[in-house]
Amino acid sequence: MENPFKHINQPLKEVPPELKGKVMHDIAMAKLLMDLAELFSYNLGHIIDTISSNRKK
Amino acid sequence: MKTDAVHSLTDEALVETIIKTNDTMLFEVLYDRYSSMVYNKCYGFANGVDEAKDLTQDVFLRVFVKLGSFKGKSKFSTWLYAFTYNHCVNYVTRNTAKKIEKQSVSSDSIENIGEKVDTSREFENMRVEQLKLVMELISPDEKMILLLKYQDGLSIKELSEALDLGESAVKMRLKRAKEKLVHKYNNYTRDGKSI
Repeated sequence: MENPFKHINQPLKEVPPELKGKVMHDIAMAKLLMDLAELFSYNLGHIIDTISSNRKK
Repeated sequence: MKTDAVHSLTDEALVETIIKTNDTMLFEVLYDRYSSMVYNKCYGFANGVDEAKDLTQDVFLRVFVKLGSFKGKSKFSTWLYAFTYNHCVNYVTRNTAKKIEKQSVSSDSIENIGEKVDTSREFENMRVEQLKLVMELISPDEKMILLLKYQDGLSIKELSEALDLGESAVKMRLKRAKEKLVHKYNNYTRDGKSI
């Protein structure tokens, strides 16, 4: 006998085609906000890297 | 990166590139690979198509934001399964204001669980339709761990990493969920009520 768990989600439902547009719109907005946030924040990792590499010289 | 090259990338390499570049076009490739899996998992926890669509939309948005927390310890698909289920379980339990019982587990009681939780033998004679109905009678947390183990085939170690729990805790939760499911299944009556 087979494991019935493999069949409880069958047949697979088809993803509504309009969902992709909505998801990609959300992603574009999130990326915009993340990029804007980066503009107004310090990249401490980068600053520390730069300082330490300058010191070695 | 050329389209063919992108499509031939492994999931893990693709995710690494997305984290580095934050490229939304590459995320679209990831969406195409996993939208069916995520949507169907969400559908299993949702009340209808609209709710499943909303859950899927939320999962992909959160995945994009949290992609950096994928450290490559497990396969990306494993991480995404757990991420999706966690989101669904949180959604389902959010409104019920149910406090999850913290069940302390003594070390004596977990010693004998061993490999028993690894086998799906107890389920082999179950009817799919009835199992589907009984799965709705257990808690979302129990449903999640059973699906991850017996539908998605995660090992105890992978479950431990995905759920951020010790292996003993995973075994104990699986054992309890399994016992509860078998009990509910055996007492399931025709009118849809579990005795």
